[in-house]
Amino acid sequence: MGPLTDIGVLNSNWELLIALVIGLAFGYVLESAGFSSSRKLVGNFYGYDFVVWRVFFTAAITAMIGLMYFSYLDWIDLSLIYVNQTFIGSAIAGGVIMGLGFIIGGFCPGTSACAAAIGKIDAIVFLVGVFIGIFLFGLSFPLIEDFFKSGAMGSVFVYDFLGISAGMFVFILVLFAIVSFYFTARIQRKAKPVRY
Amino acid sequence: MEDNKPRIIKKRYIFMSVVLLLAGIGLVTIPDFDKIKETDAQEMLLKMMSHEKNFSTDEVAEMLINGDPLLQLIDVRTPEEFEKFSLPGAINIPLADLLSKDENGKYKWADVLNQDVKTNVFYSDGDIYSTRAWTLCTRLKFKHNYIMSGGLNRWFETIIMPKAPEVSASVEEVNLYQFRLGARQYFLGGGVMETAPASTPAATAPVKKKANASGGGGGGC
Repeated sequence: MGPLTDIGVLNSNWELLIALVIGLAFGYVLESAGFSSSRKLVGNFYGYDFVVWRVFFTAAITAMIGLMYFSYLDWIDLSLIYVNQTFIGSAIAGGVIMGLGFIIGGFCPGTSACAAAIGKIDAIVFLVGVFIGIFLFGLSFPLIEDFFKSGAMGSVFVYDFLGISAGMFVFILVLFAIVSFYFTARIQRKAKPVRY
Repeated sequence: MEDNKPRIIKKRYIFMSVVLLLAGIGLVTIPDFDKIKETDAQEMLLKMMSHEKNFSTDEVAEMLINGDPLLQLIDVRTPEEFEKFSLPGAINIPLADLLSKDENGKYKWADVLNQDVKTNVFYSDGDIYSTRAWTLCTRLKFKHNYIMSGGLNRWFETIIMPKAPEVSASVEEVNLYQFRLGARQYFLGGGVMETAPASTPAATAPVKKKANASGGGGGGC
């Protein structure tokens, strides 16, 4: 809760508690939306359920549009937001591994914790796998460190990289989202229904 | 089974799409805005007129002698001039390089010029370049930047070649002179500093923040 603790409205000891409450709320919403079902999640890849795609893409563009307008109205200083550095090589490799894990295991890390919380055995197994993976990654880190740090680009924004304005980038992404929602809906209509 | 087959176009989907699209179009069409957060004109004027931005050469000398860890002298002259002479512990950020940006479009010296710990004191030969540096930084809302009044010229006049006070001078003036003599010895003669500062009025704790420049030694312009 950056601003509240920084300006002294809240003691920083509250941060963990607030994180817990937000985490519980997030988990609750994920579960209520059916995101604790691995069949629903992988529907994305098999073409019979694109809810995950729609939900996360809508969330992303809504947040983007909100941040842009907040910045325009001077309600937020975007330069104060921490942006992770980009290491393009490891980002691509990580994306591929994450995607494969998602298709094979049926969860992404967040939803697996959510599903494990309601006692789904596949999610618990998935979580165990996640931690084994983390452990192996830690052990083998010296071997892959050079690759891990390859392709450093600093804190780069896509729109700066492409040389277009931030507003234009958001607009293009919104268009892409709407078009993709339309076509995924068509794919979903044609797909063989799956019961879950 | 039917749940898995949403009708392609539902009214609320159309509504949401239109809202998102309009918001996106809005972002493209709103006029470009100045993203640099600058100090507004009135506040800037007040800061420029205030003496709080100035350190006298005596105050800087005192901080150097006391080894004030918070002091960061910044020489805004050219690297050649900096090579020839600089104050102890000073770093060189030439005025022309002050607001240069790195490949990510961020100010290269922002870590030095905009921070919460150190007391940055700009100096140049006189007042002009250091005041320019201060003005540029203050407009960008960079924090904790000050100017050494009179620059190196006054440094030489007051610290390196101090004038002896008149016979009729006050105790303060004599004390100041004694301090300057001690400082001179410190800066020229290998740093032995035993006699002079004993009589200076303010040889106590290192100066942390500028409180009131007008009261300081012979500096304030």
